Amino acid sequence: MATETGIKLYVNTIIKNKSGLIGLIMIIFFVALSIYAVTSFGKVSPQWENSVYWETYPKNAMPYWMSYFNPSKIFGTKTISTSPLSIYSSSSYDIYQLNYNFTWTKDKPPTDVVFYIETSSPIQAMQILWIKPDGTNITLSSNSPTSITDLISYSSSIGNYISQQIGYVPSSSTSQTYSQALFGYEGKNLLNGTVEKGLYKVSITIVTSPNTKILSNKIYLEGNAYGLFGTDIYGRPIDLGILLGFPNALEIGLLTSIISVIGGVIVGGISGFLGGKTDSAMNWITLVILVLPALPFLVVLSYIMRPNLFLEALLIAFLSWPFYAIIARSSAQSIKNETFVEADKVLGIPSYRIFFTHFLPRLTPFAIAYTALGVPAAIILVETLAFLGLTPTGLVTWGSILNSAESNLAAVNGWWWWILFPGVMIILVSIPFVMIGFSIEKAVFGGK
Amino acid sequence: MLKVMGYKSYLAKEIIIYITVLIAAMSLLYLLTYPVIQEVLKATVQTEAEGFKQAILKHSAGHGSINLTNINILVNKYKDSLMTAYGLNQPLYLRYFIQMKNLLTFNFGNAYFLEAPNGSHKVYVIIASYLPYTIILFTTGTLIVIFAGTLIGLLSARYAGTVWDKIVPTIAVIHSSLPTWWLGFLLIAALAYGVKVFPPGGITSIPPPKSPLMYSINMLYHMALPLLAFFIVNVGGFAYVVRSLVISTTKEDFVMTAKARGLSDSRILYRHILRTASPSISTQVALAIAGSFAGGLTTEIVFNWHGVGWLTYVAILLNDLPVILGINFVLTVILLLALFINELVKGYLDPRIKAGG
Amino acid sequence: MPILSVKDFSIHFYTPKGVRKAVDKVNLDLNKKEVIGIAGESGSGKSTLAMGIMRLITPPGKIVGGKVLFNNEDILSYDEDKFNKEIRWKKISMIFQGSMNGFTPVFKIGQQIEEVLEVHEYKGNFKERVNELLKMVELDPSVSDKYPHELSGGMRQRAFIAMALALNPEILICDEPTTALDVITQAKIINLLKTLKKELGLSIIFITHDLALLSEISDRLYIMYAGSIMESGYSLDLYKNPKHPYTQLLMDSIADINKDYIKGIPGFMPDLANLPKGCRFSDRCPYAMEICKQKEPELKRIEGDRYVSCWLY
Ligand SMILES: Nc1ncnc2c1ncn2[C@@H]1O[C@H](COP(=O)(O)OP(=O)(O)O)[C@@H](O)[C@H]1O
Ligand code: SF4
Ligand SMILES: [Mg+2]
Repeated sequence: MATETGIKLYVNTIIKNKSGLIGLIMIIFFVALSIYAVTSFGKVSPQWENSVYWETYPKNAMPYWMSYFNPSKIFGTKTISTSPLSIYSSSSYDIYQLNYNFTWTKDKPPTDVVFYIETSSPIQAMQILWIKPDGTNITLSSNSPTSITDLISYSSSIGNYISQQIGYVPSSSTSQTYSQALFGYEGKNLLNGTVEKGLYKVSITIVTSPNTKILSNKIYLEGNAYGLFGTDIYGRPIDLGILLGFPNALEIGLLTSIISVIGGVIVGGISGFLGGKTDSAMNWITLVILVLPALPFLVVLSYIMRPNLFLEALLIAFLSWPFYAIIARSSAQSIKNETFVEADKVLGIPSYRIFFTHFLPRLTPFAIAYTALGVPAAIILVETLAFLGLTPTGLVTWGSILNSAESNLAAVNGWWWWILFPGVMIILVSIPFVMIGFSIEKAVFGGK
Repeated sequence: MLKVMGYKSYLAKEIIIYITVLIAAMSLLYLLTYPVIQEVLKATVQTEAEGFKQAILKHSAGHGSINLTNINILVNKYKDSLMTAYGLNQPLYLRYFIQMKNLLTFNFGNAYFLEAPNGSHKVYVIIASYLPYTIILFTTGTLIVIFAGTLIGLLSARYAGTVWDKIVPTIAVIHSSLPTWWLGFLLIAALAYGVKVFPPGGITSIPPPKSPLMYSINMLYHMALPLLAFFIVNVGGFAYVVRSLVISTTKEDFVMTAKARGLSDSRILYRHILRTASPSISTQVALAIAGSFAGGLTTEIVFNWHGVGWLTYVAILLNDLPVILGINFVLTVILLLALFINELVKGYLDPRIKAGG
Repeated sequence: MPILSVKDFSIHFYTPKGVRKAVDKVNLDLNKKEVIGIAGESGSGKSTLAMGIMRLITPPGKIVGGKVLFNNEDILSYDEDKFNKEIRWKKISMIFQGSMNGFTPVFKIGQQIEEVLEVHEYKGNFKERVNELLKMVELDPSVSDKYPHELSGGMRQRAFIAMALALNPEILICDEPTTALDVITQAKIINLLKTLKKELGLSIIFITHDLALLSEISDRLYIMYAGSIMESGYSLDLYKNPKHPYTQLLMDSIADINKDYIKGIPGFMPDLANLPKGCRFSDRCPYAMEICKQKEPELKRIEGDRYVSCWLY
């Protein structure tokens, strides 16, 4: 047996093996990403389920880099702002005007237009004059102005305008329809998809109580492409969700795997080492836990206990250790049959010493290999639970992102980015652990 | 020393082990879910009593004189008898025995919301009507994976040192890192909605074809994508295990002597090595089934395949705890059966086991 | 003319630590109905040589040179199929140190012997032949219905010998056939082999690290060290009058066994991937001279049938 022991041996083993080294580098990178996620976006997590928070983001936008392939139809969000003009001020109310100009060159209208005006006290009335490049115009007004409004907020104004032009309002009107109305040629062809290109002028007039200040203002011409991985139906950026999913995936994967492998190796190792009645008894216990169906059982336990991350890891470990116990037991049995162990027994060396001198050193590489392999297994199980809608509260997980993709029919609607990237992340995070596990397994057990 | 135990006593021993494991596992499930079970049973008693009351009211509606007090007395009596049957008004230890007996006889009470296609609210009827579809999908998938996995594992062990050697670890990585349901999701987006080659889900078309032949073909067509997902995810892991087992068996003395005897390589591999490794492979099959349960069940959700996995999902959405509990018990029994069958097969395949030890 | 003649036979193992020359230009003759013994410390390449004759060397090992002539035909040049059909087990069969584990554990003894008969297209009744063979090795016919694990080590070894004789081979290679057995069983097996040799007219290559045992059964002896033959000659002759320093030390160590303590040869066998320059025994040899460290001695005939590879002669 190699005389080199301890962590150094494993680090050497991993580094010498090409795939082990790649795996190690990937894991370091993932850990760095997790730290970045926690430190920079930790405050965003609790907002994930709060749809108002994501109002100004484009909905169902595909990844931004897609615009590289078709820039005239796929584009990102454009924001414009202006300096407000005070056009009337009295002791009873103030009136401000905000004039915006922008040039539209794309073949498609924005997916939505969001008006954002933050004031020091509530807006009392608001009217928007929308002037197209050819001079035709629409007036949008809302009964209950708020600081953030999108085109749905003006559905009655725009609906009226549409029916004036084409005689009716399409039954399934969305923000997309309203946006087309604001960007199409006035007349019968308003909604046929052609877009007026050129200089648009938007003039917003608001009425506020006296001494109100306008803190900031913006118009979002929402694109259909956003960020590295696009956005979902609520506008939540997938790339951000993925980043937020990193820390919890790694944490629970490692925690679960370490606990269940240690448990499994202890039970299986002792059982195989001692043999006889102890072996039968421990084997029986292993079997009892093994037959509990992990997934539905975790579902029930999640209901009863409402676990946090740590408890969830413990529960999964409780159901996973038998798999490792079974493998550890058979390794222990074969170690036991090796001649030098038998020789020790003949020489009357006490069994606890044989356990520490022969067993533990031989089982350690096994345990390390399976800890590495157990991480992805645990991650997949956790993400599966999350996919079923069982996520510890307050966490953003890849499984919960996919759950929301499933319930919002992402596959039917062709929002592939919402499905593809979170799943790819599960795979990407798993692969380095599998590679390291295999390389240790191969180094230790040879040719396997 | 050469005590020959024989298959029969081996069998008897295993039966005792597995029955005690069943009781222990059930007790464990019972203990861990005790508060929920009590709640579920109380709700069951409540709905049954309510149903009883409605039935009496309906029955006595035509007879003019309705004595509500009498009816309430009757209903309370009925409720008491139900409480006794479910052991709810018994001391703890009796409660345990009564409820264990109920669990072991698949009497899980009534569902909160779900009902079986025939209208029954009994949990076991509901599960029984979904279970066959899970069994069809899961068994077919498992059989294909075992067959192909064994073949690939053998080939890679035989041609060690060639490309085969690289392929198996690679597909094993896929196995260890890919959630089945996600792959299913992706396949649906690509092959059902992207290129419209396969149906996006369901067990058959709606309405289902009339003739049994067309019905089966239609069902196979619907099974193709879920099976593909199940296959891609699981075949690598199984091939890897078979390969490891075969390679470690190849290092045993008898393989060298078999070669010395002038037996051909393929004869040694397929007859001697495979046959010797088969008890271990059988164990791996049982463990693989246990391990792929979670993935297989969740796949049903994305494919809208109305089996037990899908039922679990719906029960979660509806908070229908009795159904989720019932599924736990039924799947425990199924898993136990798979492991038990493995013991039988192993005992049959390995003459050494019969000798006891 | 010898029935088997090994010429300049070399087998190397390509390990990460270098090329191990486990068998290095070995020459050896086996005459009809003769028993030759190969002796040497463990690790000297005896098993590798035997496996090489049976062409059972697997990577990282490789036969890198030489000839193996069976009835004057080079059987190394046969293709695998022809070798399997015509030579393996049919003409040359072998029993191993691990023969008690040589049966496939899941088939009955009878089945496995019959399989050999079937594969080699034996003409005649399989059942009868199996019984005949079992009788030959003094086993009860009921053994054919037993699984290997149901037999003791000695019985399994006998059953394996029966299987080795199934096709009436001309040559039997015995690689430490008794090492793992207790002394009484060992003696019984040796006696059995002696009887069989006489009755069947076998030619036998007997390999062991136990010289005392060899002197008892072999006609001629080859002494092997670090992959190479050091000395050969008639057993009694060589036993009484060892010439090579290595043989002398080896003889001493047997004598010492009788004195109830073990006196090994001082030092260790060199790494076969890294042999000393000159004579491969020079780092342990009490008589080593200057030339021994420069040039490798050749195996020379010094008298009668005695060959020695040593600068002393
Ligand atoms: N599979 C192998 N891989 C590497 N080296 C081997 C292998 N088998 C044998 N050897 C080398 O060949 C040498 C001779 O071994 P062996 O023929 O078994 O010796 P013996 O039978 O005389 O004890 C050993 O010292 C070892 O270094
Ligand atoms: S050649 Fe020299 S070293 Fe080698 S055995 Fe003879 S005397 Fe010793
Ligand atoms: Mg040897």
